Amino acid sequence: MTAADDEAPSRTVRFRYELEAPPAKVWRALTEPALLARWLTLPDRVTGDPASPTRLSVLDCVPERLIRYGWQEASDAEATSVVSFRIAPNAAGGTRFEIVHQRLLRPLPKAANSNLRALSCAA
Amino acid sequence: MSETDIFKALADPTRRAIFERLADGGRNATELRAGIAISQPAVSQHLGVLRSAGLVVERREGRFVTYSVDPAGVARLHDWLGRYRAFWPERVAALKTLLEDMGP
Repeated sequence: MTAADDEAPSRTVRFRYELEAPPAKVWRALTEPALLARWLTLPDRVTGDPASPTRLSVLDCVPERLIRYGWQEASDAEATSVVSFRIAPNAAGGTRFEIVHQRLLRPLPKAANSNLRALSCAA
Repeated sequence: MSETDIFKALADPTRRAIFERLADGGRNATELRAGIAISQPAVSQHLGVLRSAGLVVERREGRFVTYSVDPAGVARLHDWLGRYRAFWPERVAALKTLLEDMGP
């Protein structure tokens, strides 16, 4: 991503949460496909049809710190975005969890079109 | 005109400045240029991109042309943001439930 991509408030949503669970546990929920499927149900843009969900691909991974997914909406080839999940221990023994979801102006990198099952970073 | 066209249209800072001027009300091309070091053809080109993206409408009255923001286009701009502003808090609620169910 270029520097210009980082300054894009008009097409970025951000959230920050303090979770009670420790980082190692949160990391599993963010990266293991079977666990991800239980909370990150992916929308189809138009019909909400679970048979044609948004596709995820892994772009970036730093174990127990950052996982970045390419987010491709099935019903709109131009609707690409990047979701970054960052975690860090907090003072209460839990986890600070930040979500940054940024709309892209271009297709996802080709190398990123890997099946989510081939998650090479899982701790 | 897709959402991507809208995001691309507003990615150029000069074009965005022109669009923001229009948010104050309809303007003609001369008013839009005021205070920006930009030629008339460049303004016309930017307005063309904004119109193609569905963000700006043009009204002609004889020789006079005024431009204004298209509210439907602005609504589409907020579509993606609005959708995901609602999406993530629900997903995190589900994440918290999962974390509890996962046990220690």
